[in-house]
Formats: sequence, C-alpha cells, structure tokens
Amino acid sequence: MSIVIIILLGIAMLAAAFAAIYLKDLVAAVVAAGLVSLMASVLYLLMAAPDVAMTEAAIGAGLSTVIFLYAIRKTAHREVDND
Amino acid sequence: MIKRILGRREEEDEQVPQKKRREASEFVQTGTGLLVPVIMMFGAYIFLNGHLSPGGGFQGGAVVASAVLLMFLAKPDHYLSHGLLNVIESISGFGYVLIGILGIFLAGGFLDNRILPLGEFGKLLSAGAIPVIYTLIGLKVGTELAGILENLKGLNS
Repeated sequence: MSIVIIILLGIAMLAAAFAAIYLKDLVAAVVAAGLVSLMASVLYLLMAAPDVAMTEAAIGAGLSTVIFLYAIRKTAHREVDND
Repeated sequence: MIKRILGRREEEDEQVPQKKRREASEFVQTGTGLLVPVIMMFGAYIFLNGHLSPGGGFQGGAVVASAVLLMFLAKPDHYLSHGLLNVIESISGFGYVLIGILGIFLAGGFLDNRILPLGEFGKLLSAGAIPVIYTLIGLKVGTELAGILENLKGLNS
C-alpha cells in the first residue's frame, strides 16, 4: 500500500516539476515549484526521514516560495521571449 | 527557558507603522492572530526537544521564521526591528562558538557535549550541552530568515 502512494506522489511531483518549467506565467510556475517541495516533504516522511521532511516543508514549500513571489512582484510578471 | 525565548520573541515584534499598503482581509488577520503564537511555540518546542525527537535547531528556526512570514502577510505595513534581529543573531553565533571552544578545554574536543552533566536518557534536561547548542542555533536561524524576509519586504517599489 505504501509503495503505491509513494509511486503516485512521485508521478505527481514529476508533473508539477514539468509544469514549473513550461508555464509562461511566473507566479503559476513558482506555485508549481512549491508543490514539488510539498510532495517531496510528504515523500521524505513516508520514507522515514521526518527530520528532512520538516526542513523541506518549512524552507522549500514555505519560505522559498514566498521569497520568489516577493522577487516576482518587484520585477515583471511574464517571461519574455527574446528571439 | 521557554519563557525566556518567547519573551525575546515578543520584544522583537515591536511594530512601527510604515508607508500605507493594502491591508489583508479580515479572515487572514484573525487567523494570524490565532496561529502566530502557536506556530512560534511549536518552533521553540522543536528546537528545545531537538535531542529527543526529530528536528533540531535549523528546523525549529525555520518554523519560527514561517510564523514571522504569516505575520508579514497579514500586516504588510508593519516591520521588525532590524537592529534587535542582528543583535540576537550575533549573540547566538558567538555563544555557539564559545560552547564549542569550552568543549576543547573542559572535555574531549570542539563541540563536545560533556561539558554539562549528561543526565538521564529521555529527559528534557539531558545530553549535556546539546539543548543549549540547539537553542542558540534555533534563535540564529529564526532571526536570520526573518531578517531576509524583512529585507525583501522592506524595499517598496
């Protein structure tokens, strides 16, 4: 049972990571990156590393997402194609 | 010890109104008032119990900083005293190095925890100097991450 949850979470994490790469709206991309961190922290907890899960949830999903959002608010909102 | 840390935390929150910004909604403000003390206390719990349960100085400090972040989201035009944050951070770093060096002279080597009585396994006051070290690291990480957030928020465009 646990292995199924782990595999499903891994697939969802991969999907969120691809969304973070390919989304044009930067705010949505940052939220997708935060989702990757959130699922990574649940995976760490399932694989018996509660220490790392705590750090990942607080730093990866919480603080770094908000720091990226602060940075985006001070700059442009969309990715610019230079061709 | 808990009272001392929380007392310092409350001193840190002295708030001076800055340039006016858009206020958060009533829900966010009420929820923040309810949750921030609990989250800060949970952070202090994590680093005080670092030698007994999962977590430690860094994790506890990160949880404390996320409480500060929630406070910033609810009240964007308030700010923390930067000087006090720097003072707490510097004193914690100094204390960490001092305990490490005490370990060289009183026990086996740098950061040796046997400079204080080891106590009984499983008690809160045990494991020698490790609770002290974790408390210092928790204060340092919490104030440092809060300072980063404060810096990023403070420069208004």
